[in-house]
Order: sequence, then structure tokens, then C-alpha cells
Amino acid sequence: MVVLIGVLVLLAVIMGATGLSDKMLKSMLTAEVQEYKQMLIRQGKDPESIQKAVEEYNKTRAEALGIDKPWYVRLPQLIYRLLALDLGNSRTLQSSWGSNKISDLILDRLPNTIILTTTGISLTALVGIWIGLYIGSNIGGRADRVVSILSAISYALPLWFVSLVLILLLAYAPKILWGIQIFPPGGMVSIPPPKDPVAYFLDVLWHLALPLIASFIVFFGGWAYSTRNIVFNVSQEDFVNFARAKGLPEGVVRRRYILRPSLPPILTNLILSLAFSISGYIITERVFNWPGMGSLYYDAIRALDEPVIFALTYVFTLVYIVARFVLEILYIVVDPRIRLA
Amino acid sequence: MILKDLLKSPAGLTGIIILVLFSLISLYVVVTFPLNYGTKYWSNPKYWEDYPKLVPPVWLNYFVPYRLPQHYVYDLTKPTDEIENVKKYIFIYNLDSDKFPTGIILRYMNLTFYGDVPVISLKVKRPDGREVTLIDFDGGVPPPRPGETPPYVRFVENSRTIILAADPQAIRKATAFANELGVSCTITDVQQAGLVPYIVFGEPTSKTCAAESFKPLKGKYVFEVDMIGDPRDQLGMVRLVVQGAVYGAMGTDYLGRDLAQGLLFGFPVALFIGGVVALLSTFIGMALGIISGYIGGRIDEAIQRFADVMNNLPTLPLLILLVFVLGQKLINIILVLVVFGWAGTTIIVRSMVLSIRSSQFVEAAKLAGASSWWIMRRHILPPVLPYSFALIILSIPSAILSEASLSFLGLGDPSIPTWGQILQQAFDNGALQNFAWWWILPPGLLIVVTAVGFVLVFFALEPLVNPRLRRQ
Repeated sequence: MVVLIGVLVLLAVIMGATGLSDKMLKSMLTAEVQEYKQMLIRQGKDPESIQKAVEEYNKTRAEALGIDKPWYVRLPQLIYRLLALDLGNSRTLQSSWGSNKISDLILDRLPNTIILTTTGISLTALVGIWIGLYIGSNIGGRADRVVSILSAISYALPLWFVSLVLILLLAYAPKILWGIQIFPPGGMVSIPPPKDPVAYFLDVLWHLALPLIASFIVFFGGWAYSTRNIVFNVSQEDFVNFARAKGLPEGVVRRRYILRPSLPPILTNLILSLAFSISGYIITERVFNWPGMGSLYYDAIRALDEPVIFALTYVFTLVYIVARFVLEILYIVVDPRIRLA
Repeated sequence: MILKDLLKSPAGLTGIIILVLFSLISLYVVVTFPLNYGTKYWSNPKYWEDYPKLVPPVWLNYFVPYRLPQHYVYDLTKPTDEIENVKKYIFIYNLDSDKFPTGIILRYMNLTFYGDVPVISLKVKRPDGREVTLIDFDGGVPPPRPGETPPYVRFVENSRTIILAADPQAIRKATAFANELGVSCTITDVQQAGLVPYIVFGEPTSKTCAAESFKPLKGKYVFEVDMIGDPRDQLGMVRLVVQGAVYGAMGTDYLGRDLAQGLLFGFPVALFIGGVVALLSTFIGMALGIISGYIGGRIDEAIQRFADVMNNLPTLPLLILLVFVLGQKLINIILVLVVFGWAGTTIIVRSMVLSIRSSQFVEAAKLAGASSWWIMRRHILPPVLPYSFALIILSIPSAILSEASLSFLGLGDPSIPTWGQILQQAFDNGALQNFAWWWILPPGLLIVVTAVGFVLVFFALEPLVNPRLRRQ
């Protein structure tokens, strides 16, 4: 909770101190005043009284928005708006149904990002955890050494670069050199998208293939290695030795005595990386031209759409923090040691 | 002592070799490249005009079954031959490749004339004996202005550049020559498909007007630039460029920039960003961690909560936001990376300090009346230092990778070329669609290899400096 409030205050301060919120409010103000002026002109009043009325309106709106006060006075208002998810309007970017509201923009893109990240992370994590469980009870073997090296490399391997290489070698190279399209170079569905729902689903899967392979290459080593460490630590515990001494079959020991206590830290990893992946795929989405939050972020940078950039940063952060919160609760569910304490 | 142990492990040895090699390259670049290389050369498209555009590296010739033409540049400062009022500049170009050169450029400087504008022309004698006049009068020379007295001097600062594939006169003449060869081309065809080099260097295999209907005519080509005018008229320099289909050690990008140079310049930049960020953030983190752990109480609480907040933020979106708001300058990028980089160190160092604080030598120092500052400096810092050093090594690659990510999103410092920016330009300008692997793979691989080097050193260093791991 402390962390959540801290992040909110920090974000609001960044926004205020850098003048970003001033800019946003000013653009809102100009838009409102412009609209008011247009309305008066349409009513056909004489220019002088319009001028006067507009100035009056400008002043009252400026006061209402609090733009005449320094940013630190407005801080509570700002934080309130963030908490209420009142993210304002974008300047140029629009959602697929033409709405300018940032919350619509995000709703438009979020499902696509979730499709990409959840499949990428869960596939990699499942295989990684499975391999890690196996290696964790065979420390020092050849597979163990390979996974250690892989994990070191995955620390230094940016996902977006691996994606670029895969697109180059698996999507464009076969097409240019031999004229066959093995994988699509980007996008989420073919253009035009298939009508039949089954075909549509298969088409999305086809487009998902390269991102999944990329995530697998980059994250697999890390998953296997961290699971191996967790499992290794647990298997050193006395109760595991005792279970073996009791003569329980190895399968039962592994499932009941090693896997069960390893679960909470593994789950932590899983949830955190799911939460983190929403922002971690920003660049990768761009590389694959995947119409998710990351692409939206990039478009916002390109279009200098400040309100969108800010709102997205906030949402990325929020998702992460909510995930941490969920984690705290899940801990209590899966770990009886915490529940009973 | 530590270095010796480090070199014993294969990971440490590999890492050290990579780092030493990269540092030497950086040193070489810092000594030989001008500091304003980015703005003066790299981001200045005019400087790269003569270079072939988007061509692979020279060594590709060893791997493909056909030969690609090399880049040809030749300067003449004196006429090769002089007959009365005609000055001849003769260039000999030998075509021995199976593919076509990508372009022809004529360039001259310091034209001095006394009477009328001299007639400057360009013609080619081909190995099959045919002769093509590509330019018979260069109309691009400004005539004398009213009131200007001879000698008239033109093109002193900027040279006169004729890119034949874009010059209307050359296109017209080349089209006429193509028709003479039996290929039915129109001027628009030649202009749009950029066929000039194909027509000049090729022999037709079919009638259709396309690049495929030409095959290179191997042999000696004689390019002749003639200047006809007053006998006193002079040309300072004449250059003929026949742009190759391969260039340099690393190829070129869409502007013709020599990628080898950009990649080389990236070495010191990457190490500088990584080094400065890691040094600053680890130093701040260590100092706060020592203070937090040793002094305790409210200060500890405040620092740890703050570190928790910083450590729990997803960094990339915030990095993007801050660099976007503050402006794309190298100093801002470094600053932002430091601001988001110290928290992890603080938390680790604090936990180390907590165990050191309760040891007997600290108690003894306290009893002897030492001040907190003195104890922190003399008793707490030394045991923390080695591990902090390892943390510096670990945070260098993450800083380099973060910078690359920012650059790839187009948020790098535009005045300094980095590997990330080269990748970004490659991605944005169709390197993938053109299968320009030489433009995408090297910068990315350099980023990865640098990061791997540091990570390997860290992995080898950690058991040596981490007291917890050493005991095992």
C-alpha cells in the first residue's frame, strides 16, 4: 500500500515538476475556450462582446482547472484524477472506433497485449519450470551447466533484438531468397482477416508463432535457472532428507516434499513477470507490429501525444503494483506457513 | 589476487578478453575520431553522397557464387591530355563483376573560366567499342553575373555533383543508347527504375525495359570528361565515382553511411554510458545503503521505503516518459538511468551492513569513542566495497541495454551515433524488407556481446567477493 501511494505521489511530482501537467491543462483550456468562442460566433454576436465574453470564460475556466496556481498546490487534485482513472483525452491518437478518450484507447489495445504476453510468458514459464524441476534434483549435470550458461545469456539478450533477428531470418529471408512465406513478418491477423472464427483463431496463432519463439529463446534460461535454484534450496532441507530416509519413492518426494514448498517463490516469479511483461513487451510489440499497448506507446511518442504517454506510463505502473498486491494475497493462500503465522 | 582467480575460470577469462578487446577498440576510436563525429559526419547526408546506398560488406564476395563490383573513386587534379582549347580528363574503370555497379557520379570543384561558360561533357567508351555521350553540356554552371570580372570562379566550397541516375540529360542520353542497343525503353522507365548503370555497363538479353534484361559487359571502360573553352580555363579537381555493390568491412545503410564507422563509434559511447551510469548509481546506492544500515531508525525506514518504491517500478515506461519530457540528450539519458538504478544496490548493501554492524570490531570502535562517520568509512565501507564493485560490473550491461532500448524507440541522443540508433534506423528504413542483414545483425550482436562480457565477469567475480558464497 505504501508503495502504491509512493508511486502515485512520485508520478504526480514528476508530472508537475517537469511542467507536463501544466501543458496538459493548458491544452485542455485552449480547447474549451476555442469551443466557447465558436459557439458565440455561431450565435452571431458582435466581435467586441465575443472578445470580452471569451476572456471572461477563459479566466473562470483557468481558475476552475487550477492552472493559475503552482503545481504543488494542485497535487491532490492530480492524484485524485489518477486514482479515479480519469485519464483525459488524447491529442491525436484514436481508438479503432474513433474515440479520443484515453481509457477507450487502452481498452482497445489491452486485450491484444494480454494475448501476446500471457501466451509468451506462460508457455516459456511452464517449460522452464518443468525443466528447472528436473535439473534441480540433478545439480551439476550437463543439462545443469547448459541452463546456467543460457540464463547468463538471457540476461544480456534483449527480447526485441531476438525478435528482429527472427523476423529477418524466418519471415523475410525465406520470402526474399526462396519466395515462400513461412512466418508472417508482423501484425496480429492477416489483411483482410479471415471471416471464419476457426480460421481467424488459427491466423492469430500463426502470427503469434514468432513472438512466442522469441520469448522462449530469451526467457527460457532464466526460468529454468531460477526454478532450479529454488528447488535445489528446498531439496537441501531436513524434511526432504527425512522423507527419503523413510523410503518414500522418489516421485512422491519430488511432488509432495519438494514441489509443494517451492511453489510460492515460483508463483511469485510467474505473477511478477506476467505483470512486468505488459510493459516489457513495449519494444517487442513495435518490432512485430502487434497492435497492443506497446505499439500505442510508440505511436504516442511519435505523435508527441503527451497525455497518452503519461496515461500509459501510469497504467503500466498500476498493473505492476496491482499484481504485487494480488501476490500478497496469493501468498497467504498457497503458503500455510504465512497463513498460520 | 582476485584478478588471478578471475582468469582461472573460463567464464571470467572470456569476459575479460571481451572487455579488454572492446576497451582497446574504444581507445582507438577516441584517439582517431573527432568528438563531433556524430553531427559533422554521421548525421550529415551530404558527406555520404558518393557512397553506394544499402550495399553489403566487401567480404560477401567470398561467400556468394558471383562477383559483386567494388566501389571505385578516382580523383584527377590535372588534365590527362590537352589539345588546344580542349582539356581531357580520362578515367579507366575495369568492370570484372557479375553484377552491376549501383550508380555513377561525376563531381568537380574549383572551376575557373575567363570568357563564356566552358562546355563540360562526359562520354564513355565501352569494351564493345561503342561510345555513349552521357552529358554533352553541363548546364549547371552559373554564368557570369553582371558586374563580375574574370576570372570567374565556381564551386569552391561545394563541388558540382552530377548523379547520373537522377540527371535528366544523362537519362535522356542513356535511353537513346538503350534504344540503339535494341531495348525499347522510355525516359520515364529509365528514370523510375534507375536503369542508367545497367544501360551504361550492360549488354541486352531481351527487349523489355527492365534491369533483368541486361547482363554486365565485362572489360575496360574509358570515361572521358572534356572541357572546351578558353585555354586558360581550369578545373581544380574532377572525380569519377562508380558506386559498387559492396562496400567496406560492414556495408552501408540507406544514406550510404559506412556502417563500420558508426559501429566503431558506438564502442566508446556504449562503454561510457554503461560505465558512468553504473559507477554513479552504485556509488549512490552504496552510500545510502551504508547510511541506512548503520544509522538505522527513521532514516533507515525512509531510505528503505523510498528504495522499495523505486525498485518496484517497471523501469522502461518511466525511462521513456522521463527522457521524452526532459529531452533527448546524453546527459538526460544518463541521469534518468542513474535515478532508476540505485535502489537495488541500496537494499543489498544495507543487508550486508546490518550483519557487519553487529560484529565485534565495530563494537570496539564504538567503545573507543569513534564517530559514526569514522566507523562507516573505516569499518563498514571496506568489507562492502568488493561486492559493490561486482555490482558495478553487473549494472553496466543493464545500462547499456536500457540505452539501446531507448535508442531503438527513437529516444536516443541524435547527435551521437549508438548501436541502438543504428538498429532503429535500420528498422525504420526497411532493412528487414530489403533483407539488409549487415545493417541489423552487427549492431545488435555488439550490444549482446558487450553485455555478455560484463555478465560473465560478474558471474566469475561474484563467488570471489560475496562472503556468503565464498563460505560454501
